[in-house]
Amino acid sequence: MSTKNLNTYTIFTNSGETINRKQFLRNLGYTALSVIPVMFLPGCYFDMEYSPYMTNVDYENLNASNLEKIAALESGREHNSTYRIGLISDTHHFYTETKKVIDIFNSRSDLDFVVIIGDTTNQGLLKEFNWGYDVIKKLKYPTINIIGNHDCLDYGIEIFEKMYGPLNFSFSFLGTEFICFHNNNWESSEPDYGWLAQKASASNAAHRVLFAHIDNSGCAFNRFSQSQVDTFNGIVSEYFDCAIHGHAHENSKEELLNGVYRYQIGSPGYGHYMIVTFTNGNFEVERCSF
Amino acid sequence: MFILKNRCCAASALIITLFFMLADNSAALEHNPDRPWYIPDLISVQTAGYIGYAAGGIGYLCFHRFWESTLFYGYVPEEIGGREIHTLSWKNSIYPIRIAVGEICELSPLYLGTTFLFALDKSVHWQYSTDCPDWYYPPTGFHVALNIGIQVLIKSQLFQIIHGFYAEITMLDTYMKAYFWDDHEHLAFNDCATLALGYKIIF
Repeated sequence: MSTKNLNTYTIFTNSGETINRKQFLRNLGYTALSVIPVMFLPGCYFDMEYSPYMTNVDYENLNASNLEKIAALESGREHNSTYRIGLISDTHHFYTETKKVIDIFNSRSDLDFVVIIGDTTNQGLLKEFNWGYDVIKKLKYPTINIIGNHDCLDYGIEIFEKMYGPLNFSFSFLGTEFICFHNNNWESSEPDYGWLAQKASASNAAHRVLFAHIDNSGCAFNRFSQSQVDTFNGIVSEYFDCAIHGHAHENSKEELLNGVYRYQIGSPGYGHYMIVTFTNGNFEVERCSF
Repeated sequence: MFILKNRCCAASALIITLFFMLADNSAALEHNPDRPWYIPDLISVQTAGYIGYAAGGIGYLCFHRFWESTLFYGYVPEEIGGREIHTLSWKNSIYPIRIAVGEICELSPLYLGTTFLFALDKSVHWQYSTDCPDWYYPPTGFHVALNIGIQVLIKSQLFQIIHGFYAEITMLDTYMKAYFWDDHEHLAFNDCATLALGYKIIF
């Protein structure tokens, strides 16, 4: 208990000692001088993050807004006219290298849009999504992002859906249907091949291009069963002109499988990116390194 | 904003300098040594530092308050975190430097710690699929963080307790890897670390 004698300004502390007003004020001063810098100095420089598992995104439906920009690019151009897209994949934590690719893309004026074939994060954390987007948003072209296996970790799917939109989606541009397919089965549910077949068969587009993060044409270290591989290859062979994948970090693949060209885009972290030029159903692939 | 931050830093540095000028080395604070060992020595609340919007815990002090070990339950409401998050954190800190300031204050200008963070949610994983190789991903339901902090203890003049105020900079393993190994050039230290503020009562 503390009492204050108005005449002598003494205070009885919990240990029974008596201190005068001067001592009390001195203690109060020390307290204030101690607490203020301790609590506020670091706040000048650091933000406060409550949990790595947060999913409250700063940006929403980015793919939808970019698809609107892509649709706007079609006006005044004939179907089957020449257009060119930039492709990046597996940017992960390779921000410096990704910025180099973005600078290369931005230095050109002949691209129509850019597609990122997944894995902009390592562990699907919100902060990683934000770091990735802070780099990607410097692109001067509309940019579409599809989901990769690392983006599915933790609450990554929830974040991706809020930030970019649906995991499976499609869009058309100058007579070509681009179908973006989520097939990261270890980290999520099994791929929805029914959706893929339905979407491809329902398309009236003259040409179709598939984007899927993981190359599903083989078992991929037992990731896919033979039945899944056969289903995927059957759909791709029947409906698509080419299939483009990421995941392996190297520009390692260019093969003709069942009459369909399959490509694998490397990661900027390994110095890779790709540019594809479409002309009336034909496409020319530049597999670039820096 | 950058200028404002710099001014705040300068003002805080000035306050710290004045603080040390005024400081004198009287006896350090001591807490009650007669309590049974199984009764916690402290209760603590903290915000941020990855352990929750609001986290509360109980802790023990050993080796004359050189080592502190606290178990926290942390919570982030949906309005703040986008989803409701529950975590359990085991935090261990050592206080190698302690400076008595006046009769009632003690400053630890630098303490070091480690936090083991466990997510109390089935949506995060120790392993992703029975087919997925064990080495393929690190477990995401568990993280380790390193802390560096500063703490002030103030002896209550009214009760037999010590108030503790602390601020610490915490870095999560994933962000540490990103900063130190993956892309030191692009990422800044304050991109990868977070501030935590806490208050404790030592009995």
